[in-house]
Amino acid sequence: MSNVFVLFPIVFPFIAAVAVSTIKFRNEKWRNIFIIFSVIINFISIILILNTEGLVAFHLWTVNNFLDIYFKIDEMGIFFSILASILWIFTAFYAIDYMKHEGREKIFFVFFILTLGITVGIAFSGNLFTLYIFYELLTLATFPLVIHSGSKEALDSGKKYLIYSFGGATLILLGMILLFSINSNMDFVARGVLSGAVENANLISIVYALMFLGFGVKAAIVPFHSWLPGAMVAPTPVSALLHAVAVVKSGIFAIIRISYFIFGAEIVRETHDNIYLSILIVITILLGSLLALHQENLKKRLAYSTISQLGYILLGIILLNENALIGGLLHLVNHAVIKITLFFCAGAIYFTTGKKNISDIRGIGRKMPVTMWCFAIAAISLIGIPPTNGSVSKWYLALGGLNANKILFVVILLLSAFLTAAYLLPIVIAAFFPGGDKVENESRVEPPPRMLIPIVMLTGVVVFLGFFPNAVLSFIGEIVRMVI
Amino acid sequence: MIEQTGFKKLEDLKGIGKEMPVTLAIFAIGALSMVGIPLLPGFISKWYLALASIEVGKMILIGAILLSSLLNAIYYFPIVINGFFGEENLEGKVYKAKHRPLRQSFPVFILIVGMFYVGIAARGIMYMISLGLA
Repeated sequence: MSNVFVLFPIVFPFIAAVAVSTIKFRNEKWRNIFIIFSVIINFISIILILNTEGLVAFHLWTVNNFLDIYFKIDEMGIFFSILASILWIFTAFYAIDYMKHEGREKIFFVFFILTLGITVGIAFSGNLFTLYIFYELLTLATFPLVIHSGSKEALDSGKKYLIYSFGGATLILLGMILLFSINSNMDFVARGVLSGAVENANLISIVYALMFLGFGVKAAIVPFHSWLPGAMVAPTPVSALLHAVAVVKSGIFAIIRISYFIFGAEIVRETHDNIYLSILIVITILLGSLLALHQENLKKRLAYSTISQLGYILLGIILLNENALIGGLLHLVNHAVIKITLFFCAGAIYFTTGKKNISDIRGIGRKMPVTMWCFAIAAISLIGIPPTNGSVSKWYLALGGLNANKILFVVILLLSAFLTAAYLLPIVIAAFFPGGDKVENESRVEPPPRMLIPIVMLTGVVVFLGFFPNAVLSFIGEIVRMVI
Repeated sequence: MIEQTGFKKLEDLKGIGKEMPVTLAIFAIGALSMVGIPLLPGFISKWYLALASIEVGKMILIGAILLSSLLNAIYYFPIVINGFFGEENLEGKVYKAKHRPLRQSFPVFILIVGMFYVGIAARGIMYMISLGLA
């Protein structure tokens, strides 16, 4: 029964969240220490679980072979849970100072910690039903974060977020019901569980498309993307963590689970869904980049950029070959680290100067050199100029495209990289070279250290992953070889 | 809620979460069950209805069930959201929940506990139902 410890990193954040909401801390400092400790303890507990032999699977509650809450830790789950919990620690530090000017920190941190538990729950889910539960909970737990400011705009965006997410969840549920009528086993098994049941080819094709689009809502696939830029009214730590990493990557993670652990690459290829879906994905990549070009609001520009970059990852998944999937998974990590850095920089600018628009931040590089250097490095990585981490993942994606004999995809990747440069570099250039007019105030106004240090460290990670991608690459390679 | 505030219209009940947080939280859980979030009993009954519609080959019925779930979400959630969140909605509201006698909340609590139990212990109930049907 020691397997019950598998639940610890999922349940502990729930307890911590309740504690934050009920315990009367002596002052803010104690509460902040409690929050930081909770997040770090959770990370350590995940590491401990991974290093303990035999802690793999746990049935919490079983009604029948479908209604079965089942946790299983495999490489894919390890990969996602570690990524999320590391980034959660950075965000916790960042948010403590940032949220001071947003107010109502208590509610924020309650749901912030709760969401960590749910994300780990998604990572550790052993079957589709469990994943679905946590997926629904994720929507509910992140909703209060999106509407944190309580303004009319925030409530409207929140409503949009709920409708899109529940709409997507309904598609998934429909897919699950239909799938259950074909095959009652929905455990995640590498290479899929459907190998014996291919006579219903049409139905399987419909089910896969339904689920892909359903989970695709959270992965912001066009035409279900518009909740993501809307959700940028949320405070920056929320945008950074949830809308560049946790929420959207949960969508991606779920798509990987259904593609490679329920259906399996072979069956997906037989349905030919991958061809139709890849058209949507290509539109996502290009449309995201093109829309990003026109955004004046810095966070909105980053949001559209996220849509386009998520398209890369989805493309890596749907091409169904080894190099493409390696590229997709690697880009999942790289994009998470890069985008969280970019968002933290944008938040730092807003925090210290109160400026949200790109035209207002001319010459900001003189005032906040460290922040803007980090922004510049992350921007270059996202474009994919060697030797940064973005170039490594794009290289594998391009190889994957070639392996699938689709030169077109390589062209699209290059075009989109060009567009990425077109929407990110002007920000960097404007920040450092404001042009003719003299800058009125040269004094430095860097954000407080608890915000600046996470930014610098994350930039360090971006650079490190560029020079030494092999650490992550070998782990990803292991996952990919198991499923293809 | 009606008894405490004297309001019946949804428009008047905005910001109610600040006055009666526990009551509205209970309402929210009930709403989630109606929508069919798993673990709550609403999900399980909908699941079996959907499976039955596949068995008789009427796929369109699943569509109806799911659409209605989505509509449930659309008409219940705004009540909860406007009750708990929104600057304008919460202005001028005072925290009054403590005035409510425990005696009145008690039956509602029991019902909520019962609802979770039905959700979690669905196996036993389904067994009894299948015995009855046999």
